[in-house]
Amino acid sequence: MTYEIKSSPEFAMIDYRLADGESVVAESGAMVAMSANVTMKTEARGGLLAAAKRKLLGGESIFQNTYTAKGGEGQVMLAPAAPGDVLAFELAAGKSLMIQSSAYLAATPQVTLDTKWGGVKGFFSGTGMFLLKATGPGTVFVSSYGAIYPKRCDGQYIVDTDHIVAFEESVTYTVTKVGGIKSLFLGGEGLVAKFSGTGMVYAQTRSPGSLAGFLHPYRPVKNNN
Amino acid sequence: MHFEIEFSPAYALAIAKLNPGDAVMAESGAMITQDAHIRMETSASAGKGVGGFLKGLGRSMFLGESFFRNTFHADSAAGEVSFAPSLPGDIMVYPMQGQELIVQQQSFLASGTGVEIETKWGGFKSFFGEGRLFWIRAFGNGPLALNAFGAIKEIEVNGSYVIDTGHIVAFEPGLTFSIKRVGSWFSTFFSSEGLVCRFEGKGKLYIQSRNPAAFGGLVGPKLPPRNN
Repeated sequence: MTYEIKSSPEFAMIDYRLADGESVVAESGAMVAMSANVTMKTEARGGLLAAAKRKLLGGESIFQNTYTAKGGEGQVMLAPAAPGDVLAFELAAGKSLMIQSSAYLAATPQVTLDTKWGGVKGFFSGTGMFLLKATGPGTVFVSSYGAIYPKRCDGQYIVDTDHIVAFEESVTYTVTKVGGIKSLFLGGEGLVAKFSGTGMVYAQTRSPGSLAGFLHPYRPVKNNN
Repeated sequence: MHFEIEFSPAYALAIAKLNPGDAVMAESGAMITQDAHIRMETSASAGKGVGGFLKGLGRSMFLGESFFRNTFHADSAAGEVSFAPSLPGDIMVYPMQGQELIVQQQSFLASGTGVEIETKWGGFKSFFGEGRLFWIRAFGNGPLALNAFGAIKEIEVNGSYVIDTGHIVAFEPGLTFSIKRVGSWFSTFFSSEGLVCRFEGKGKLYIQSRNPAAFGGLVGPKLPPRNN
C-alpha cells in the first residue's frame, strides 16, 4: 500500500492506494470516495465485546469499516469530520501510540486498538478525555481540528485536555488543573494533562469544545409556552 | 518574552517564549500548552485586589464578557506557553513601543506584561442598533498578539475609510470613528450592510476577513434551542 496526505494542514485527506487484496481499516464515516472495485465490510474489530468496551470507555464507534481492493489496485480517500490536519505514524511491532479517541481516523489491518491504558482513568475523572492505544506493526492515522503542534516533552509538559491529539507511550500523564480554584472557575482554563517523561506530544491548535462554546449564545432560546 | 506565530493563517498558534523572570498575560481560556514549571495567576483586568476582582465578576456576569485574564510566569527558568483563539484564523503581533492601539475586545489574545490593557475608558463601548462593540485600549511597551476570525489585512488610512462593524480587529489612535448607516434607511432595514464604522484620520487599521457574529448567526439557528 501507499498513501499520500493531501491538502494539509487545512483540509487534510488521505489518498490511500491498495494493491489487489490489501485492506485499510477506518473509523465509520471517514470514507470520502473509493474506486468501485473496493469492497467495504463493517465489523466489530477484536470481537463484539472488545469493541463494546472501546465504545464505552474510548468513545470510539463500535463498528469500523474495512476497505479491501478486489481484482486489481484500488483507491480509498479518507477524511476526518473537522477541518484540520492528518498525521501518519509508523508503528514497529509492539510499539504503541496513545490517541485521543476522536482523533483516531484509520489504520492498517494489523494495528490493534485498545482502551486498557488510561481509558478508564479518563472515563472516571470526567474530563471527557478518552484514549485509545494503537499498537503496531503498521500505520495509524490521526486527525486534528486545526493544525497539529508537535512538542517533545522532556521532563514535564502541560496540554489542555481538549487539545490533545496523541502522545508516545514513553510519556505518562495526570489530569490536573492549572492555577488555583479561582482560576478553575473564573479563569477559563479548565483541566489539563500534565505529561511526564521523554517523548512526543501532539496538540491541536483549535478545539471542537471551544467552537461549541462560541456558538452557544447564538442558539435559539427555548420557548417554554 | 517574544511571540512566535505558527500555522498561519488558518489555525494560527502564538507561542510565547519566556526568559527567566518573564511573564505573559492572556485572554482567559486561550492557553493550549505550557511548560510545567510556568505558574499561572488569574486576575480581573481592571483594578487591583478584591474590589477589582468583584467588579470584573459583575461585568462578566452582566455583560456576558470575559474580563478575566491569566498571567503566566516563568519564575526561575525559561519556558514557553502557547495560545490560540476559539475560531479559525490568523494571529498578528503588534509591537508596542510607547504608542497606543485600540483593540476590538474579542481580538485580544495575549501580551507582554509591559503592555497595559485598559477596559474602563470613555470609548469603552459602542452601541448601535442591536449590536455593540467593546474596545480595549493598549499602551506601553512589548509585543501584543491579536487574533482574527479568518485572515488579517492591514489598511493604511489617510482620510476616510468604511469598515463593517463585525470586521474590525484594531486601529491606531490617529483614527477616530463613528457608527454610520450606509445607504438609505431602506438599506439599513433590508440589507445586512446596515451599520458600519466610518474612520477618519491617519493611521493603520487591521481588519478580519470573516465576521464572528455573522458566523454565529449562520450556524446558531441550526442548533437545538438552549434553555436560557
